[in-house]
Amino acid sequence: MIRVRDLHYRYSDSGPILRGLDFTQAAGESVALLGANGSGKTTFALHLNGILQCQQGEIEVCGIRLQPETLEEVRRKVGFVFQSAENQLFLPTVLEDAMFGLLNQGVPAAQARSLALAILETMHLAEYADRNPFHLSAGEKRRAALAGVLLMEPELLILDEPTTFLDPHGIRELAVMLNRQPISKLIVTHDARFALQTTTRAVFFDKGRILAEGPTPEIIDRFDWL
Amino acid sequence: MKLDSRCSLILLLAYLVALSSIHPGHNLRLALLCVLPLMLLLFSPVAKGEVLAQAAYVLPFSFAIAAVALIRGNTAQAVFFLLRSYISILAVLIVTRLLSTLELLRAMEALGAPRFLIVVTEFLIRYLEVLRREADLMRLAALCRGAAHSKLIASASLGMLFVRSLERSTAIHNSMLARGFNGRLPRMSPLAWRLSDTGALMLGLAVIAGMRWSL
Repeated sequence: MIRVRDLHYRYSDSGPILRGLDFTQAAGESVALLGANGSGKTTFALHLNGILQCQQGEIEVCGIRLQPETLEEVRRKVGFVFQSAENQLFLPTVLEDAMFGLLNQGVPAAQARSLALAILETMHLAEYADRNPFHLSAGEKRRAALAGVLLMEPELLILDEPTTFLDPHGIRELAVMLNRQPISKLIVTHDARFALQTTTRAVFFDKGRILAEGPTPEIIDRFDWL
Repeated sequence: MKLDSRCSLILLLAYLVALSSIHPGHNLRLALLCVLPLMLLLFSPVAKGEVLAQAAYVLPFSFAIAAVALIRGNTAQAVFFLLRSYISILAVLIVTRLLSTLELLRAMEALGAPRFLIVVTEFLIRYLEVLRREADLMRLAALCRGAAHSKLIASASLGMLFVRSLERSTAIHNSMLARGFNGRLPRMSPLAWRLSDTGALMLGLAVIAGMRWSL
């Protein structure tokens, strides 16, 4: 599903963020990316659908080598739920925002609309379809952002700090929804309990490198991350 | 029943053309045309007082032209200019209140406005909201740390506001890219022109033309 070799990255105003990172993830696997702030987790995740361009190294996602010519194809297969749902929801209504990705894929508007309504129903958001996304609660915003991405039927779902701003009930609800999705998941998180609920393997980042990887409970225990 | 946004826009444009083509002194024609937006305002679900007050914002600008007429001693002409500009803005405000911004932009696009202009406007509207929210957050943060004068806060933090807004705009753009955005905003639902729109357009144009040119 994901093969990354010797990935390096530095932002223009900082030192190296990723220092020769190697990573693999099998199809259907759910993996947690753990590690301190600034360890490179989000920077790494942003490479996987080409938001950040690979400066050095190789990335293969869903069997496609990531390069400018394959970006569109990769983005059809990789769903990305960003840390801030507010940045993800940008259209005037929840329904329109949910339809956005499908319409970009060329799905006819009427079909996109009915598919969006169906997923909003599943996400318990049907009654908010015509509401402005900014007027939803944090949990509802997160579910709306997730709905817009899941509608595109990605093969790989990447979530960056999905539990940010969520209360314990919202976190549990999100975990249940994610576990229902039979696709590969890569979850960047500081929330060890959430990682335990949603992933089987964890990778621990430190200063742009992978320090350790293994079953999620073992990694959490080893780095005292709970 | 709501008119198609293109129909509303064509009628508005026709009305503005009719209004702007009246020559000073044709007060009866002006009075007749004034009736249309006032009637629309009366029967539409917009905040009437607010719209009437907002339309008055144009008066300081049109007063510059009216002042020339006043200096020449032609008070009637000055009043004519002020009233015509006020009514024009009133008509525009009512129509823009009845249509959502997106409906309006889609109608403009369908009527031939350049797509580039439409997309830029759509983003501008979206990012103005981002800018406003960032400004609110920064102002609140400053007030919580004991800052007393919000105007001072605003001026001191203007540069930072733009940096933060740029960061948020970039984040929004990234999330759009991640969902397959390719530079063209997709249309949510096709515009649907009905027979009733044709009827309303014909009737509306006939009424406007009748009021403008029959007397």
